[in-house]
Amino acid sequence: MFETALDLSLPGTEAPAAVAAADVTRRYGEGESAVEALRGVTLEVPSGQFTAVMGPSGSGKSTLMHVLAGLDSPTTGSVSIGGREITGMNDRELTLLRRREIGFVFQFFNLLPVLTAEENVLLPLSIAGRKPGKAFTDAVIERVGLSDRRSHRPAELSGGQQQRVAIARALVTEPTVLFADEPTGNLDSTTGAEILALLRDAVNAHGQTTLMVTHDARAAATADRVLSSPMAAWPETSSAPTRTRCST
Amino acid sequence: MIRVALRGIAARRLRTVLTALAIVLGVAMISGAFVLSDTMRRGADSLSTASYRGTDAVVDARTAFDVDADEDAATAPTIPASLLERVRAVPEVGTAVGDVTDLQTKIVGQDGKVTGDGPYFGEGIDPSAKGAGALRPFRLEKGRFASGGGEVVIDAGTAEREGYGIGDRVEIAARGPVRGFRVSGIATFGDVKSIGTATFAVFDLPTAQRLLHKPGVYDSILVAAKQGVSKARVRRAVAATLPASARVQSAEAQDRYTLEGLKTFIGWIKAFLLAFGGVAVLVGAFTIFNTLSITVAQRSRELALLRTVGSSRRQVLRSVLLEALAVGAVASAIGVFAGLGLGKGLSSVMASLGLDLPEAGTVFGPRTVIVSLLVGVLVTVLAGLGPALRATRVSPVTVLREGAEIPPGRFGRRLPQIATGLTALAVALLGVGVLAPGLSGGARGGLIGPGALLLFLGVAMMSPRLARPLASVIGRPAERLGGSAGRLARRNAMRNPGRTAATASALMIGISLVVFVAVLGQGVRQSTTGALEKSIKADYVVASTDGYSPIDPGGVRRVAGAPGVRSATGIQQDGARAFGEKVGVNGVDPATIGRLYDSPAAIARLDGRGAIVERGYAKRHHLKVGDRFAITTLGGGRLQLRVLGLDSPPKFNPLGLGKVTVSEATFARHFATERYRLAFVATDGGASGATTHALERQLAGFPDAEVQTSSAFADSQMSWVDSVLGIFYVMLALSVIVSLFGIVNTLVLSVLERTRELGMLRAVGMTRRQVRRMVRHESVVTALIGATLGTGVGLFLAGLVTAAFSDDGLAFSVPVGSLLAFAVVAALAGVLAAVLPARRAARLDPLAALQYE
Repeated sequence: MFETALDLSLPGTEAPAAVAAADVTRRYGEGESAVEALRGVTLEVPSGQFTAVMGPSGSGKSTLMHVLAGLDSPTTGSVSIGGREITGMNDRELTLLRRREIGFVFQFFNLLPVLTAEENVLLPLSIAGRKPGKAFTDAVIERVGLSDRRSHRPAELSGGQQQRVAIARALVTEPTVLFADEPTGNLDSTTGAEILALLRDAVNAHGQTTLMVTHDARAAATADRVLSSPMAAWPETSSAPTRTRCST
Repeated sequence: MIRVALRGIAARRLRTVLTALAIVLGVAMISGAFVLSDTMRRGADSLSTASYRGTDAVVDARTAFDVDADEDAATAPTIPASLLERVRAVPEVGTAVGDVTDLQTKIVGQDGKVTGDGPYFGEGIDPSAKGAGALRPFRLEKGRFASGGGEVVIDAGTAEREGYGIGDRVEIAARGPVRGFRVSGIATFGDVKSIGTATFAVFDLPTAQRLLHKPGVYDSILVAAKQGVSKARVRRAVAATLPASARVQSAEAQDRYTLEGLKTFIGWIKAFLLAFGGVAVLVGAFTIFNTLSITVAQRSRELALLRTVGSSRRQVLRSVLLEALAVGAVASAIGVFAGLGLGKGLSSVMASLGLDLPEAGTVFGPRTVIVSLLVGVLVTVLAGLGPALRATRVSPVTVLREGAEIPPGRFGRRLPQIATGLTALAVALLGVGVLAPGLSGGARGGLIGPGALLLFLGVAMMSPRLARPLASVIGRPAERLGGSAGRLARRNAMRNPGRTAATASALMIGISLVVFVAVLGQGVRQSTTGALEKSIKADYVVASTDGYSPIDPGGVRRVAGAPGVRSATGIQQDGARAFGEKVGVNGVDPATIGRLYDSPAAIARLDGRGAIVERGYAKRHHLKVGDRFAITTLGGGRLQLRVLGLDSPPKFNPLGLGKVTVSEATFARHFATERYRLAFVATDGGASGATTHALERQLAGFPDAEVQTSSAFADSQMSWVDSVLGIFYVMLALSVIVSLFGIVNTLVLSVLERTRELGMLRAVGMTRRQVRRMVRHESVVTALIGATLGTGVGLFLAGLVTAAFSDDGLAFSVPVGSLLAFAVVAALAGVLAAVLPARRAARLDPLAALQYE
């Protein structure tokens, strides 16, 4: 479970928060067997910064990310993205929100095997019915260093290359916030470092707001700010009824 | 391992249900075919028993050759009434009565039109003869038997359908103009509930003789033996007293109600329905094969785990086969009983198409159960064999690897060669079966049946190669229409060509048969129109309302006398024997026929001995103009003829006219037929509404005949093509439905397999509607691949058959509109098949989909 004993919001910061959560609780199940993955979490992800959420497996950090990204809804509390309240949005509104405001990078890349690297990158635009210009497409692919791999299928790419495609796919819509869920979890350390550098670069060069969930301290070190679960540090003092494995 | 197999079924419930449905439908069709035909057969048998039980012997005129009532337009000779006394004088004879039976005595309904669709039994009985009741099948339900010239007994079915009761006036068209009778009784045919499209009208004997123009003669004499005298003995005794022109037989052999024809017809229906059941089962086999193949592929890790913990290959094989066996057995059992219902449904389909058949109680024999079960289970297990063998090749190490694929076996690697070989063999079998001269019908069937089956298999095995390019082309419009959903659909269809191909192949079979019959139907239609347009020079044609009965000359004479009619001439038809085989003989009026029907000039010179002979027939028998030849009539008379001219009618002969034509005077001297096959009419001003009306008025007394303009007649000659196509489409629809289950199954399994992808697509902003569209487009692309392959195979088969009948003038004509309609139906079927899988795909929670195992 992920619990913030302290208020992690940043009062007084100039930049408006890209993502904000207020007193978010996520409970699974009911009654006796109910499990709380998040309890009273309040936080803000500042615009233009690289924020990492640290914690071991089962600490609820993935649940936190899913709730913040609108993939899961909080039991209580509220979440807003780019100043818009997303709690209570219906499926269609959430889908359009993900389409326009959010980019995802997953641990297992999740590319479509039937599409080429370039087509995978452009997939979100294609789904939204948008046709990017050639210059734009070239620039995005260039940015992740895959110019010579654009017509390859995922099966013909290495893990690192696949994750680059996934990052380009997340950046291509210029989202308000990019969520990365253990982006290096499935890569060796060298390749992982390259991927982290790419994410870092997106923040530095383009002011891409990024929230990364990781259990790897070295990965977290790339971020501007690290939020960590107190539960991770002092598991014995947990006041939650049960510590459970959640979805990570 | 048994538990593993059964748990597998329980865990994959939807898939199992869909697979089972495919088998249920096929088996139901087979079981239904047996139920329906057994039921009809029992009906026919009880008709037979009811008709002939009390009759120990029948005396009728000896014929020169055997006649098939359904095929030959030959009228049997009669026997003199005086023979009855000689038969009665035989000591072994208990009762003997004269009988007149006719198949063209039509009862007119309340609407003024002929009721029923034949045979139209008309019979004269002598109620005064002692013990005659036992010789008749008729059992009075109400009233009494007819006596005197004004009374008739009609069958209960007609009475109920038309609302006729005792004392009502009913009109009957037999010979001459229609006549009114009073209904004196209503009877059933033994204890048979319905006699299908048949009707009967029973008169007293003198009335029937008068009505049917048979004064002083009988068609037959029915004999019951004295008590204690065997059938054989009475037959021998009667035979001894008969002149050479008469003979004695059993009632069944003599068959005055032509029930043998009915039984043959029922046999045809059975074969027809079983053939369609076989097609449905074949399509079902594809579905089973495909579903099990996909499941085995998806379960490869589970199977590998089983192998790791020590299961042998044999055990894996057994577990997959056992699953197929369990599904097959349960589904077949359900199918057998579903067939009971389907049999009833088929019977009403037949009825709605005018093929009402006699019915007794429903027959559900052990043979039905055994054969249907056996077919269902065997086919399921056979279809499961391939996937089961494939499952054994899962190596234990697969458990450690994600997405590992099962290596193809020896058979799999040789697939392209095997497919090509099978297809070539199929084409060879079909080519020989259809085109080789001098084969018997049975031999042709023996080559064509397996040939078609192999062709389906061969094309299905080749289709993985074709699926990718076809999906690419067919998917393009979908891509245009569906945006990214359409594009992904096209790619998904191309992604696993084997799977797409096997799914589409099931639909291919149904579509190819639909295309096959549509093309042949169009060919027949076009050939018919061409032939009739070329031959008929008349303005009007007079023919029977049912399209096949002969018409009374009285009606034609009335039409000829109408104002504005220049000439009206009928064609008579009978059968004879010449050169050791049966041949149709036409009787025409030499003075007028040439102006109304395309004929050689020599027809005008037809005299007592002259004949016009069809050119092909003449060539076969080495006849030239001026040659003489002899024909023997059914009654045994020999007729010497001289060839006056050769006739070259269009090769396609929709009117079924005979090969030999003589003058009507000659015809009348030698043949018993008086009715016309049809008649042609030329008018002064050509066809017009007023003239049509005038001619119709002339026929007012002949409700069984109708006058049509020549073009309307040509159209009506083709209406049977549409009915036949209708029956075929209904029957093949079942196979198409079975293949739809296959598409649903494949899509459900693909959606399951692509859970993670779908989750990602939803996460990056694909709406539920787009997900549904993607699945739907993939389904439509698959269905259209099936339609394309099916159209190709169907056109090939139709072309082959057309080539075989090109000597008979059958044209090859592609009904483009119909083919497009089939493609649209296939696409719609694809949409329908996608409903459930698309909904499942759209319902996926992106979060759940993204979670790792």
